[in-house]
Parts: sequence; structure tokens; C-alpha cells
Amino acid sequence: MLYREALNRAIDEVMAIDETVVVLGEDVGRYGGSYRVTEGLVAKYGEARLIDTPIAELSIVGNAIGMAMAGLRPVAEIMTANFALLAFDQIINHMPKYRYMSAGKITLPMVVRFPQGVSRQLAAQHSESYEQMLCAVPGLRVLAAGDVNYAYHALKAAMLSDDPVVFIEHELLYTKKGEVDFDAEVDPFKARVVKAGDDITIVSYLKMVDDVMAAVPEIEKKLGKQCEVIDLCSLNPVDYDTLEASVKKTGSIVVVEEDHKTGGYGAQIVSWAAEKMFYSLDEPPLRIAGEDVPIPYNRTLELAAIPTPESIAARIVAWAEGNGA
Amino acid sequence: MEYQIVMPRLSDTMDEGQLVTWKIAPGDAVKKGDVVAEVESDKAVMEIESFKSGIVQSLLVEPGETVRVGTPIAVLDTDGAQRDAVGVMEHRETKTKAPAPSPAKPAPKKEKTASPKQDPLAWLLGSAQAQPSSYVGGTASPRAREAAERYGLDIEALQHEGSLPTPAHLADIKQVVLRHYFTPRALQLLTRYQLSADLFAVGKKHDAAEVEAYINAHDIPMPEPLDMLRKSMIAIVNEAAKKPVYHMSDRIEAKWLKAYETETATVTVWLLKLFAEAMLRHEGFRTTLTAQGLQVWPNASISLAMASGEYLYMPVFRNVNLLSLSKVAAQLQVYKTKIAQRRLGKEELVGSTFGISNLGMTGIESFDAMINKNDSAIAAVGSERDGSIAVTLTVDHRLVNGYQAALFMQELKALAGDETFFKKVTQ
Repeated sequence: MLYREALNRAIDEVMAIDETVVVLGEDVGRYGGSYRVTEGLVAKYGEARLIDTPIAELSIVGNAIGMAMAGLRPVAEIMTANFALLAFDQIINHMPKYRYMSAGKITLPMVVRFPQGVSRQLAAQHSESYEQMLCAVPGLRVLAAGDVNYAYHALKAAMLSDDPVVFIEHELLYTKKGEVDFDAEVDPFKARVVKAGDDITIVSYLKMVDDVMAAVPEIEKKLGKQCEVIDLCSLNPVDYDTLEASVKKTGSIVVVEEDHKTGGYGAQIVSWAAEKMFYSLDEPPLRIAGEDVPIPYNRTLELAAIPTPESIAARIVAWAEGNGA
Repeated sequence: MEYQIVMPRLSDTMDEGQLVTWKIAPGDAVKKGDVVAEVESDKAVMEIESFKSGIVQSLLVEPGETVRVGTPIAVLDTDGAQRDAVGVMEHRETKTKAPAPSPAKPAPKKEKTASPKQDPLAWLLGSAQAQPSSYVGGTASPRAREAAERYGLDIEALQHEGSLPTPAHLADIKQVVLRHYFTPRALQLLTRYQLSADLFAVGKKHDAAEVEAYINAHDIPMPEPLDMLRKSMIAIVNEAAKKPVYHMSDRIEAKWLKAYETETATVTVWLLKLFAEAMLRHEGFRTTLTAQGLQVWPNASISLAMASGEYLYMPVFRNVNLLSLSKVAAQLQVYKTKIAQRRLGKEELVGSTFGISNLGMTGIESFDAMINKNDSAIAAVGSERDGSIAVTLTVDHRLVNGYQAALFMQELKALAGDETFFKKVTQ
């Protein structure tokens, strides 16, 4: 099953059991979604529940908030993260705060689906990642689906949750293939140990998990060490228990993220490691992130601006060898 | 010429300053730019420098005293700088070595002569050496540091003597601990038996005898990982054990086998030829079973059990019926050499439909063997007794039934007792 099919299935299943679920966004209805995530749903549930909106992000999220207040369970789709900036007043200043400011009288059981990241040559204004901003806002749940099985289970959980959730997807993952275990019980807030290993903890999320996994054979071959790869899955809250167990075992932590390094989300994980895991560390933490440049259009430069399997392997090998490996 | 050092204006808002300490004493030689005193302004404690060179004549202000900006605080004799140029180094030595004497009690002149004039770098070198001792703990990762603490290791000292790298990591500490607490022989034992060093108390050095005693007392087996050869052998016999087999024993005449035995054409070589001939006449023993059905091979290819230490190989003699006696003998030699060098190729271990295991040379009278891979049967050949040799067939019933096997055995007996076969083969 493809990643986008898993998302489609999750939305479909929840819409079937709960008629208060509505989907709104640009081209989500008759067109089936820019990434075909809502394909076929308008035929099943009608235009009243799959609402094609104008190109007006602020109103998409604003309307969703109103619907949620009034008792619906809206799933708002932003076409790409950069456009969400227009809706950030709603996402940051309203969505996370109504429950708090109404002393719990108002809940917003809503999801904002949030495709982001460096795709292929979409240039500086269509390639960014905003988890660093979203996770800095108390009251928002931020999930990042890097895996097909997780995408299915976590989106269902997000839609059924009474908390406002930003559900981050990566634009290059929609055609990723994977198995979905429909009967599995998946805790959306639990990190996923993608590969177990004893020597080096590598923490990542979204598409970078795949790039890390592609780099692992080279790293293990060159260093003669085993990598443990962890997909964070939930960026806020963070499953620190899983990270702690791994760091205690390996004595190391590497964080790989696609976003620009300065102010990037990975800094939170490294800062946690320095504060809480200091006496378990046998090497300085390593952060591999994108360059501090707007994402270039030129494909060669675009790849040079973000971590790739090759650069991840080279960086980790050099780091380990510089630290006594 | 006299030059007055005055309280300088160190900030825009400074009206007066307090003299904190003098860095000079009367009689000292001062060069332009030297720090002469520390002064506290309204903002901070700052150093003041001399704008001229000379010999300090007198200090006009005591530490702790506050004076207005512009007030003279010391007097230099600027002509003295020329007269006493040689003495400059001496003064500087004294200055750094001893705390600045109070202006009320100028440092006695003879202290200066006592300073080590001959080696002005001695103090500097001394301080460079002294520096690391004030730098506590060496350079190591937090995890390595914690381990070093647990084992009572001085990271810094070890790094100084070069037995720990800088920075040190956990693996380095572990190495040092092991070398520190175990003799090299004891370490070898720990590695071979995969024992953790934590089983032994820290604080003393352990030798091999102690580790051996632990191994014996706790009845610890020596772990030996399976190599590829052992693994594949185990897989083959496991498969063999699943086959529906039966056994059939009889004796064949030894007379001609012995009579025609030469240094190269050994009994084993003759057995290969003998069985090949019998196989040609009984296609069941040239048959293999595949998922698609049976495959009947035109020639007789035989796997032969050859042991080397704990390893057992079943190299395949292909198309034995087409090979001359000497070719088979030569092939046997090639396999012996390759097995000794452990260089048998994968392709040399496949393609047979029948196997032979000959233990005749060991004096074993009779035994039965396990079928190799896809072979239809295997013949276990014992040693000669009263002119005959015991042959036990282990046969895969899926390929050959008991009646067919009995006919095969009859054929074998007839061939072994018939000199014309031996004559024909030697020609």
C-alpha cells in the first residue's frame, strides 16, 4: 500500500464511522487532492463533507476551527507548508489556545494536514519545513508520518482525538510503499525503533528516516558498529523514554533533520541529550541538518542544501572516527 | 629627567580613581607600555600603563587611596632608563616572582640579585609545566569519565603517560582497566570464553590461573562459533535425517580389489569405478528428485566422504564412468590437496547422485552413512574380513525401492568378483 493510500484509507474509515468528520481544503473534493490523498472520497461522502475551498489558507483553518467549535471533526488540508504561513495566526494563535482560554469549555477536535519538505525543484518558496515553529507552541500536537503503517494509524488517531493536531507529511513520501498492519495497536505518540543496534543512536523523522536507513549499511561497514535508527513519529510530545533507553545503550546520539540547522527542531533533541543524558554520552552529540540557505531550485544545489544518504554516511563516519571509533 | 605618572581618566564619567595595587616598586626599571598599577574607576578595575621608560623614584599614593583624575601618583627618572638598561630584565624577573612590595617598604636591592638571571625562561617553563596540574581530570567523554571514576583511574595521569588517547572514550577506559587488572594471558582467556571482566573484583591484578579457576569452578564451556563449513555440514545432515531411508547390507569380495590396488589406484579409487559401473546399469541411483519431478542423469557422478580433522567434505567425482582409472586417482589427489588447503570450490560439492563413505582403512567392520544432499543413496564401506568387505547402503525410498536396491547390490557383488571388470578398467 502506498503512503497516500494509507492516508486515504484512514480518512475513509473515520468518515464512515463518524458523520461529523469533514474534509476541507484546496482541491480536496472533485480533484481528489493535490497528492491524491482524498481521491474517491467525494463520490462516497458528497460535497458537503469534502469541501473544495478557495485559495485562502487563513479561511481554511479558520473555518475548520469554527466547525470544530460547533461540534464537527474537521480535517483541513494545506497544500504545502509554505502556504500555511498565511494561516499561522489561526494555527498558532487560535487552534492551540481556545481550550486553555475557555477553561476547557471549548475543545477543537481537528486536524491540519501539513505536507512539507524539500521535494524536487520546487524552489525556496515551496520547500520548507515548519516543525520548529509548530512544536514551539504549547497546546498543539505535532505528528510526523515517515512510515506507511504509522501514517495510517496516526492519522486515524489524530482524527479521533479531541486535541488539535498538526499532521505533518513529507511531499516525497506519498508514493512510498509499505505494509499496513490494520489490526496493530499503534500509539501515535510513541517513537518507532526502525532498526535496533548497540553502538550508535540515530534519531530522525519524516523522509530523513529513509535516507538514514539508506546510509546505515555504509556506516556499519566502515565503522564495524551497529546503528539504532529511531523515527520520532511524534514531534510534540516527544517520546523521550525510547530515546533514553537507546542513548543509555549506545552512549551516543545523532540527530538527522532536513530543515535548516539554525533554530531547527533537532536542536531540541540534542539539548535534551546534553541536559538529561550527559553522563551517558561517550561522544559529543552530532546534528546533521540542512544548510542555512533558502532551498535552491538547481537540483545539484538543492541536494547539496539537505542531508542525503551519502552525506549522512560520510558525516557519521567522520564524526565517529574523530571520537575514538 | 623626572616624569610624573598621573591618575588617568579611564572613562568619560570618571572624576577620581582608587589605587588598587602597585605593579612597580621604587628602584624598578619601567618600560613604556608596562603596567604600573591597577586602578578602580567608577566603572571597573583597569590597568594603567606608563607612557615613558625610566626608573621608579617614588610612589606617591598608597593602595586603597582615592585621588582625583590628574593627580600625580608616581615619579620616574627617565634618564635612569639609559643608565640602567642592562638591569631591565632583572627588574622584570623580580616583579613577576614576588608579590609587589608595599611602597612603604621598598624591596631590598639584594632580592633582585638573588633572582635567576642566568635563565630568564625558567619561570616561564615552570609555569607551563605547572599549568596542567591545575587543569583537573584530563579530557574524556562523560561516560568515560564516569567509568574511570568507578575503576579508580586517573584519566589525566594516564593521558600524560600516553596510555590513554585524548579525548578518551569508554572503549579506551575499558582497555586500560582490562590491561590494568588482568595479565595478557588472563585477558586472552576472558576473550576466548567471552567472560565479562566484571566477574572479577577490581583492586588487584588477576592472572590466567585465577581466570582458569573461575572457568573450572563454574563449569563454563568454551564457546566456538560455527564457521560456514560446519553450518553447511549441519544443514546437510539435518536434511538427510528427514529422508525416508532404509538400509541394506551385504559383503563384496575383496580379492580383486586388493589384487589390483596400486599406490595411486587405491581401494577407494577402485570403489568409485566399481560403483560407477553398477550405477550405469541401475538408473535409480542416477536419479534426483526435484519439485518438478525426477531427473535421470546419463552418467555416474559420485560424492566421496573425505574428512580433515573435524571437517567432513563430500567432493563430487563427475562422470566417473567416462574417466580412466588414473584420471579418477588424479582427481582424488587434487581433492586431497584442496581439502588440506581448505580451498574446495562450491561447484566441486554438487552434481552427484550417489555417495560413498569408505572407512575400510580404519578397521571398522561395518557402519551405515547418511545420504549427502540430493543423492539417491550412499554406500558405507567397511574393512576387509576373511576376504570380503561389508557394504551397507542407505537408500532414499522415494527414488529406489528395496527390490531395485537388492538388484544393485547383486550387480556390485558380481562386478567385485569378476576379474574381467578390473582388467577392462586397467586397459
